[in-house]
Amino acid sequence: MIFNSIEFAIFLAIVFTIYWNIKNLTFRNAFLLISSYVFYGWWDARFLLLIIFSSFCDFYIGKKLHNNSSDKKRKLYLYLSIGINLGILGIFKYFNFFMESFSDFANYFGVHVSPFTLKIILPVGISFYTFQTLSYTIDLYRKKIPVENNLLNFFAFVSFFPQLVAGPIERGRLLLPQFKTLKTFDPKNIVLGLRQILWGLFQKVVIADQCAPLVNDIFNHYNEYSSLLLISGAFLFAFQIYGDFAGYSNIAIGTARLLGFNLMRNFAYPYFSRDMAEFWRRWHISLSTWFRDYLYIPLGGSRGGKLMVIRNVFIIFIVSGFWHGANWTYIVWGLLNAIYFIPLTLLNRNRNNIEIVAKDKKLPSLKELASILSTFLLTSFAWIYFRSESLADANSYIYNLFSMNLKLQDFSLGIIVDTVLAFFFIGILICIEWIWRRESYPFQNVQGNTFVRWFYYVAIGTLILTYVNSNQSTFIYFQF
Amino acid sequence: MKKIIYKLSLFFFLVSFVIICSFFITGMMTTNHRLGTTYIKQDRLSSIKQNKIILIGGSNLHYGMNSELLEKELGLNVVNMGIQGSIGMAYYFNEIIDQVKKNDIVIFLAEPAHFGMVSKDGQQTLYNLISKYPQGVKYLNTNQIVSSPKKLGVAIQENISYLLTLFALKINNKQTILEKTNHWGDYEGHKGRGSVYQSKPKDYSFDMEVLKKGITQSILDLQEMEKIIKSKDAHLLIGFAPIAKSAAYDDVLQIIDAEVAATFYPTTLGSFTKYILPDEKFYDTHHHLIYDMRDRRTQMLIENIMENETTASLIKTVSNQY
Repeated sequence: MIFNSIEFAIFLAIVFTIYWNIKNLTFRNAFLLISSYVFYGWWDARFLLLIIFSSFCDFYIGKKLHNNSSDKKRKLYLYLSIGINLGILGIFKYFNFFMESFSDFANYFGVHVSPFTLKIILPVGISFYTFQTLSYTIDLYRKKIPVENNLLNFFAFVSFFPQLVAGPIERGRLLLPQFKTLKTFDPKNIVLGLRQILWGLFQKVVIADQCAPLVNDIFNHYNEYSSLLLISGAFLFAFQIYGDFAGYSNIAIGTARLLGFNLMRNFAYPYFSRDMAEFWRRWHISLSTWFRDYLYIPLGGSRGGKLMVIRNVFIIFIVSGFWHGANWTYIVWGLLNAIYFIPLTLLNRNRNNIEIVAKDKKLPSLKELASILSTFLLTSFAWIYFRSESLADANSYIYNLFSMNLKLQDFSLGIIVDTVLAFFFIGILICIEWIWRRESYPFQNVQGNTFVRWFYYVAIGTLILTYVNSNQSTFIYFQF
Repeated sequence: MKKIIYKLSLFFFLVSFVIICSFFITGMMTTNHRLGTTYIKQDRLSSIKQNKIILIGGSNLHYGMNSELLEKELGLNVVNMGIQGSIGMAYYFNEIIDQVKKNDIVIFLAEPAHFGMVSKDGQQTLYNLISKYPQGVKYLNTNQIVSSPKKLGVAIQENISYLLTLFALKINNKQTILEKTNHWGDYEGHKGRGSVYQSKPKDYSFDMEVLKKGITQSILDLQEMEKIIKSKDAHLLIGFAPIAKSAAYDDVLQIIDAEVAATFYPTTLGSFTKYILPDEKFYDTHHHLIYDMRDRRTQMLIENIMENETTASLIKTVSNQY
């Protein structure tokens, strides 16, 4: 069940109606849990076994961790939790990759090894909920949060359907307490949630899904197309993945808000960033902060010598790349981002741009514009590795891109029309996001003129319903 | 809660209103699309008062028929209603049925896809046609109306894309398909042009059981339509579209040929297998003949009619009355 489907709309309407008519907290949480399992089981009921197992383990390990005063034993329970969570990830996501890489490595040295691979499907969103439960046990170990003794609350926390399959990756200290209070129906909150869902659907349906077929075509036929089209392909993918993931996050946060829950912000207009450090503070915030809190800082962060800092930055970006998928392309993507990031850290310029660009002005200065564009170019370049099927494909794509082949014969009328339309919608996205960049999402706190507000609702709603049936596709981040 | 439900209802009402308006407005702005040739065809259909031959079917007909020649050879008025295969059989029949008079001859030039692959209720193209020809709503059946909300958006998208295409055509001073369609309803824009059809390898496999069920259902649908036409004292003949050799799945075509002949003989005009032609005879797709082949295909149809005693005498009788 994906957010941009009629099934989800019906599901949400039913859940919303029943949820607000339940007046007892326990029953409400039980209903949320059942709804979340229905949502998750819609893909494949077998996935439920894994999430139930993972929830059970972390719930009991959490209790043991809390009840034990011996540091040694506490550490043991922590390692057990990490081992189980990463073990699940390792088997389902990385096992085949390691076996195939080992086989390739051995074959390279003339030793023929047939890779032993498992024929298993990757459960949707596994990387998201395992990181969420990991954060719970780590925080518990660090005594930053109280233990959760209510099994129902904990299970509902792990499987909370709005953010279950692609985040935001919530922390126990923020989300768990929200299951302990009986929320009251607040129409203002509902309107805010609906507005955010509307914007998320626009990002997904009108931006990401319109770019997707073009991107697929260009990346699948990069050998046949000119440099101009390959450049367009890289830019279109940059907006496809943004529309896809930021769209998902907005729908998730808006959906949670309909049920009275607050989830953390996951995107903050990343393509308006003036340097890569700012980009990473604005892109997939829940994952970036996860790596910062649970990997970068424990490794020493930016303390210690320059070599130590370089090592730490490389580690988090490579791990981040690897988190996205078991493919060398993601690792190179992570490496590239580390290379972009390191100079800023070493020169202590990684916190130069904290506030949103041109906060008190209508337009950016030329310098700011140049910084935004150069950051976007660097990001788009790295996305080529992220999107390509293999390193060889990515390298060939880049080689062809820089070959300055400007022949126009590959520009069939169909491709031109579709590309022009996709960039037109991207233009709309950029304009709206620029105007509303001081808010969490466009039209968040729109006041005053009712006509303008309704014009926006109807225009965006019309675009969504016009485009929703054409290229309906799943969300890219579900595969991670 | 009530206020939210009210606002949501208002929102969906306004969005639906804008979508319906956009559907028809973009449709009316793109009537020089191929689907807009329905105006030419409908005009001709309603203007003929005498006995006539009504050709119905997909784009094979639009691109590959010389109606003037057919008219001359058979001595009857001809109208070419063929537009696109994916519109579906139901619409072909519904749009002409009011104009079918006693002794008229309706010839359905079927494409293989009409037997099991395109349902009689058609596909997306039908809704794009309706956006350009709103009067066509009255020819839709319940199924087609019920499924329309999902299709309006795609039709708007296609129309917007076509508007951009149109802009490019105008910049290059190129004519649209509408402008190159004659008053019989035949396309002539490929005159003087050679084949640009690219052969494709036959890499598609069929589930024969499913296909046979589809063929049976299509034949039942056709029988239903034949009944309606007969009830008006008119006649239905079944003909076949030309197919490029590289796109012809012989085993499938043989099954369809056998089933159609068994059900509709003697009103069947030839067979699919007889209409398999070399790839170089096709213009841009496997059913669109190059301009120079239109006469040959028309002659083949005439031969099919005349070599069959029943259809030959039918033509003779009807044309004598005319």
